[in-house]
Order: sequence, then C-alpha cells, then structure tokens
Amino acid sequence: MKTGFFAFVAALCVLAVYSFTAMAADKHDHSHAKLEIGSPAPAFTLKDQTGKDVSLKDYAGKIVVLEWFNDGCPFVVKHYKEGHMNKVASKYVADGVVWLRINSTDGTTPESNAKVAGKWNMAGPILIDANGEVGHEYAATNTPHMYVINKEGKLAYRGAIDSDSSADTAKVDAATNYVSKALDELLADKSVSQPETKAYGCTIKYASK
Amino acid sequence: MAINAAACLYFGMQRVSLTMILCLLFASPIWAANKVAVELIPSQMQIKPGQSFQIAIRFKIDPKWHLYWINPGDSGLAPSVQWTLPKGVTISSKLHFPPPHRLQAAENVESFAYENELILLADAMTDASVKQNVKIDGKIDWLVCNDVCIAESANTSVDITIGEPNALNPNFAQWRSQAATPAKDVKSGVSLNADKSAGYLYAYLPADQADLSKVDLLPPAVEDAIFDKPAIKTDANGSAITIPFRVLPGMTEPVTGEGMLIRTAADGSRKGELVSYTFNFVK
Repeated sequence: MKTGFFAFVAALCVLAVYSFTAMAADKHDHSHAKLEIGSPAPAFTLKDQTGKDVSLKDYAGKIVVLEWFNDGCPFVVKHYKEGHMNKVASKYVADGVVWLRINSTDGTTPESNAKVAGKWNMAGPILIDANGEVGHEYAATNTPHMYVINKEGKLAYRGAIDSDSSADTAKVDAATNYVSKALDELLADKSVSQPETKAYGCTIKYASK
Repeated sequence: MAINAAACLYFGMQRVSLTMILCLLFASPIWAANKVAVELIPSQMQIKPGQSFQIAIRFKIDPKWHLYWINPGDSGLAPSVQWTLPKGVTISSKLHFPPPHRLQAAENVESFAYENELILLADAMTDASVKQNVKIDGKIDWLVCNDVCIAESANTSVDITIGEPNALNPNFAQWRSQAATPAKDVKSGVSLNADKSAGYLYAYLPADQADLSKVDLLPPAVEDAIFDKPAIKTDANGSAITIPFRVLPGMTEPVTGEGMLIRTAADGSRKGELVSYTFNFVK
C-alpha cells in the first residue's frame, strides 16, 4: 500500500518535471533567431477556413504574400470594404503569386473567417493561427502586416501594405502600395528596392501564452 | 439597432414583463454606444470681431480603452478633425496635444496613448468682418482601442456669439498648461552613422534632469525609421536623452517631424515640449 503511494508520488514528480522541461523547451522555441530580410521564411502548416491544411512548402518556387488579417480591425476594413485588397491580390494571383491571409487573433475560428470571406468576396485561403504560433514566428505585430517571400523561399519584404497609415478608404487609391511595388520588382527579376517599411494598423490580439 | 427594436416588438407582444425588460436593455444604446464621448468647448462663449480664441476638443474615454498621439507608436492612429467654418473664421490645422503615456499594447508593441480623458486644443481666429454669431462644426474621427480597435466618429458643433468678450472658461488655464509647447533652449538633433543605416535622436538636458525616471523622449511620426527605447548618453557636451533607431531603406527626400520631450516634476505632473527633428537618409 505504502509502496503504491510512493510510486504514485514519484510518478507525479516525474510528470511535473517533464511538463516543466517541456514548458521550458516550448519557451525556447519561441525565442527563435530574429527574422531578417533575406532570411529563409519559417515553414508552417495551418488549416484554412474550410478545414484544409495549407503549408508554405506547398508553394516552393513561387512568390508568396502573407497578409496578417483580422476583419474586426478598422485598418483591414479600410482595404476590404471597397475591394481594394482583393483587387491587388487577384491581379498578382493571375501572375502566379500565392496570396495567403493569416488570422492570428485570439479566439478566431474557421466559421467566422468563412463568413467574412463570403462577405468581402475574398478568393483564396484565410489561415487560422488562433494560438498565434506562426504570427510570433514571423514577429507580426499589426493587422494588416504584410510579408513577401521570394521564389527562393526567402523574406523579400515586410511592413505596411501602403504609404497611407490612416483608416480612410478614400485615401487608398492615392497611396503607394509597397506590396505591389515589391511584387512588380520580383516578377521582373529585380531586387526589392524598399524591402522594409513600418507596419501600421491594429495591434494583433494574440492568445496569452 | 432597427433589427433589435423590431425583434423586441415581436417578442415583446408574445410575453410582456421580463422579455420586454430584456429587450429594452438590449435596444438601449448599450450595444451601439461609442467608447468615447466627445464635445467642443470654446475658451470664451462670446468674443469680439477680430479676436482669437481656442476650442477644446474633450474626449471622455471609457475605462480600459485608449486614444493615440500623433505618433501612435507601433500601431494605432491619432484623432483628427475636419472643421466646417463660417466666413471670417479660421482654425489652425495643428492641434495641441498633451503628453501621452507609453502603453505596452502587446509583446513588442508599444503605443503612445491617452486613457480616461484627452483634451486637444485648436487655435481659432476671427477677422473684423465677423459681425454675426457663428456656428463652428467639427467632424471628429478617432480610433479607440483596447484589445480590439474601433473607428468612431462624431459631428460636433459650437456656437460663438459676437459681442463684448466674456471671461475665459476656467478649465482652460489647466488645459493650456497640460498642452505640449515648442521646446526652448534644448540642444537637439539627429546623429547618423556613416552608412546611414542607423543613428539616434538626442536632446541635451541639465545633468540633474538626465534621468529616465524624470524625462522621456517620444519619437516623431516618421515612417522611415524603427525607433528603440530611450537611453541616457553622456559625452563631452553633457548628458542627453537619446532614441536609437534603425533606418528603413527607400527615403527619397528628407522629412521633418516633432518628437516630444516629457519632463516629470517631483509632484508627478508632466510637461511636454515639442522638439523638431529632420531626418535625411537619402543616399
């Protein structure tokens, strides 16, 4: 009886130590090397709003745009309510570019993203990153926060979608779209002249760790 | 709201009492209410033609929500106002902001923000031709955030009568003292390293003030650099508060912006001074 009790306590201790080290290891994973322009884009696999797995490696050899997305953010609404972002995305998708939206908002669900994809006529996947792992990996802080990955799988651009940091849809047309600029250069086999800008928008509400 | 009210009417007819009360609760402005209430307050209700005055834009902010300074920090957006003015009245486009607080919005995301209340002051001017009472309209837009952000807006107005000037609204003495003013006698500038990839802003201070518990420096709203936290640097010229920054490539022409030097007095009161910085990263 007594032996049984000690075995139980010992087992508990082993479990506690194990989960402690697992936690420590987990923490270590998050303190990844700082992502720089020219760094290999971190791999990921996420489910889209229909439940389908989407991996960055599925698009090896292609130019990929990552767009951090949250339909509740007024700066995201600015680019969607009159179709501006869709127009830019569909233009480059026609040129062979892959456009992936990622929603790292705490509590986001496939259903809520499917609904908004319908509301805003969005083509292509919205990836669900509710635990924020991929967002943290890319150090995404804002919505919208844009990343462009070149054909070699390296980070070629990160920052704002455009030069107008207001939430005013009427100002989108006059702004310089940095992502378009970077994609035009990459598609013409040139290097990106403005590889980094200051992202603007809403703070991403990540799940607490 | 209309849908709520309609649904309430329908359910309300089925069963009165509790349903009705619940419906009334939900049909009340609780759902649609702004997180911020805004009003315009003139420095004087009555002025004489040709007189200048000020209009305060008072934002009352719900607890736990915040508004932003001109440089919002890593995310966010400052409030803005669009005036509709009668003939003979002009208002300066530059608003006077009080010193904001640093607010840690998330890991690696810092905002320069205001909680509870924000008073912005606008400088207004009338010319001698203004003989009749005037109505000034202001459409005010702001972004208010806590974990989420909401874009809100309000149409406000204020009536000014023309006649013998009356006394200054007593609140203005305090509001004016809180608004940041242009820095005087502050030796400041931008230091860039040789390849223009990084540098720092500086503002020299008396030795006893060069202490991060007494002074803070907020960077201007400049898109071409990523600013770090302030630090104190001492060299042959004295002690300065500095903000190191990393240059983002692609600048085509130099830009100028105002940073804010904030001094905290022994009694905890804070005074903001605007320091102009010019950035030239053009290669």
